[in-house]
Amino acid sequence: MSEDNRRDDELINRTESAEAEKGGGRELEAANLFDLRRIIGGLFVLYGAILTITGLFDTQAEIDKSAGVHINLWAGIAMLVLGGLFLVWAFTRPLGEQLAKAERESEEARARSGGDR
Amino acid sequence: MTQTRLDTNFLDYAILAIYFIVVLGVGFAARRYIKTSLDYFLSGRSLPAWITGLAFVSANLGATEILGMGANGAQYGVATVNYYWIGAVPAMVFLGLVMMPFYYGSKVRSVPEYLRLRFSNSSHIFNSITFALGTILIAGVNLYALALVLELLLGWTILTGIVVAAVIVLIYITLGGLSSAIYNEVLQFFVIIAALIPISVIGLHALGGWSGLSDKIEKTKLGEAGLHALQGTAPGHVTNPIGATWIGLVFGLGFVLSFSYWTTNFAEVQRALSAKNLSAGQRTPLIGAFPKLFIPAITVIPGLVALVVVPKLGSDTGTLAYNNAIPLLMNKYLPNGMLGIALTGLMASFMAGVAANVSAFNTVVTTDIVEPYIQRDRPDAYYVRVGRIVTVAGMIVAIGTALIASGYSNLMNYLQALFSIFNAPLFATFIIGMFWKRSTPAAGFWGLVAGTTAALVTYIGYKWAGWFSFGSDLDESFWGAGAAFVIDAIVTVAVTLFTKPKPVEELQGLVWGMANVDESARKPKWWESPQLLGFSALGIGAVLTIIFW
Repeated sequence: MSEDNRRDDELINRTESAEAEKGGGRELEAANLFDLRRIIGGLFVLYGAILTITGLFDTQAEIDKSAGVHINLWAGIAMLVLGGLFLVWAFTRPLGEQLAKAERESEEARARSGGDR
Repeated sequence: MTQTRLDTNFLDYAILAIYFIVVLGVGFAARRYIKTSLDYFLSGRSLPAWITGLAFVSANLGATEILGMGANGAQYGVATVNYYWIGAVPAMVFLGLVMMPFYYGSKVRSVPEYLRLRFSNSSHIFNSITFALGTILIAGVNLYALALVLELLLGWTILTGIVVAAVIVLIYITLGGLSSAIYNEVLQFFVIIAALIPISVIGLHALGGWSGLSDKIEKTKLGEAGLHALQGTAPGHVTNPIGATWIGLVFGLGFVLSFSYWTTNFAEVQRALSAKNLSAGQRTPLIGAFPKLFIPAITVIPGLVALVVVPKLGSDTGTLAYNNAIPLLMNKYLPNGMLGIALTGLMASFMAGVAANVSAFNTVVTTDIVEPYIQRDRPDAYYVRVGRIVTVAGMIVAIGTALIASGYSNLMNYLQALFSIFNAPLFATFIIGMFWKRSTPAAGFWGLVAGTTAALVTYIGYKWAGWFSFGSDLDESFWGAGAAFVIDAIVTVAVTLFTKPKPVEELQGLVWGMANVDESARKPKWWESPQLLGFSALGIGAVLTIIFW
């Protein structure tokens, strides 16, 4: 599990440095917690791998138990895919950038509504 | 196959252990970001809608819900879907579209705090105390139910189960506050789904798909009636398995019980209040409504499958109670590996229920009781510390209330009775307070007191004193909730007519027609429109109800 911790720490450092760069407000800082998408992705990839490997070595008796559905294998693959999708989402749209963008947009909106008055 | 003790091996326990490590890791990581009480109690109002939306539905996806709905699936058949499409989705949409602008727009931190702004301190104190009491009783139910399942599936003693679950939930909430409760709820949502889908898929496969399953259901004791949602609900000619008329279903289940649960239960509303802006707050229950529409596919179907493949399911003896429908299927169909995922899903769903109660409890005790009335004007860090202490104390009390729950044979009915006492009156007060500017502070307080008393009297009169008799425990909670709602409404209106209303300018942001506008929000994308989401959810619910009519 040291790997998980290291990954979390790395995430924390990254979000913290992203915060420092833009010097965002309290709310944004809190939003930076750490990216839930990576945690879900990581857990499901791990579970998926465990089930897929278990599934590959399932005996016929185990397959018969689940009414002939090779459930460890299929569920394992499905979980790998789901976990993978979360990881792709998290890495293609990193939290830090999204937050900066959201802040810019809300500032623009604030400026606009201020101007209307 | 009537054995409930799971055939677990090292692999299953490893999968469970990995989950606990991740959950605790989330707690430790969240701790690094808790700087203010707002962070601790409302996640700094910073979360995106998809996270709060999934947490919203997950907070309700406790294992009493999953095992209970599986049991209902086996006992009542397809009619169980009424608990979802009539009994949940409309209320969730109402919360998002109509009530959220007042909750979120007025920047309250809790449901009782809304009462303080809208009415007065007296209704605020009354509701804070009854809420804290109700929540801790419900947390006890969830803890006890978990211990029952652990005993059944793994052979742990009841006390071991209660303590292990309590300690884990305690650690991650004490450390990370609401953030770690919410993050874990979202994680739990996916694990629960991953645990339930395979059971439905294998069950359907084994019985020859939906048509095979329906053929076999017709030959069970449920018969043809077990395949319809609303057939046989005409008053005077009730033949459906629940034994209710459509009037009872729509007004009792769909309106009073469901609206009061979803719109005023702070354990739910808190998830929406922690969203990052009003639009996300509104979308929280609406995004939650979509999974809710489809959850019956993975709770009711296993119930139906269990009815077919487990002979004598539903007999009173030993392990064949309806409540064990899903665990029995897990044991029958799942090989090691998948079994570990399913076990983890069940544990996760129990912890979701307990965590939702405990995090709502510590918020209300700290921000609604300690901060305004007992220790005012302390530094913010003081309240974070109080929140942590309250969490520990609450958990210890919950272990005690778990022992109260152990005195009830049907936990679902005990739970419904608690909801009828603690939630139903609140809904009447809220709905009148939000839509009628004239309703007065005094009316808010006396309405709540009268409504709560009415439900309590109904319950005591039925359970102990023998003043009333009802068809069943469930019937009692329906009538109790109805009485609470009606009496609360009558008293609120009557008292309003004789007392002085609040000046209108003090009601800004709190009542219909005077909602605050969120100026800082960027313009939402078309697919983020709450109306679009809300009406789509209602539409899908209506179509599904007609298909399974």
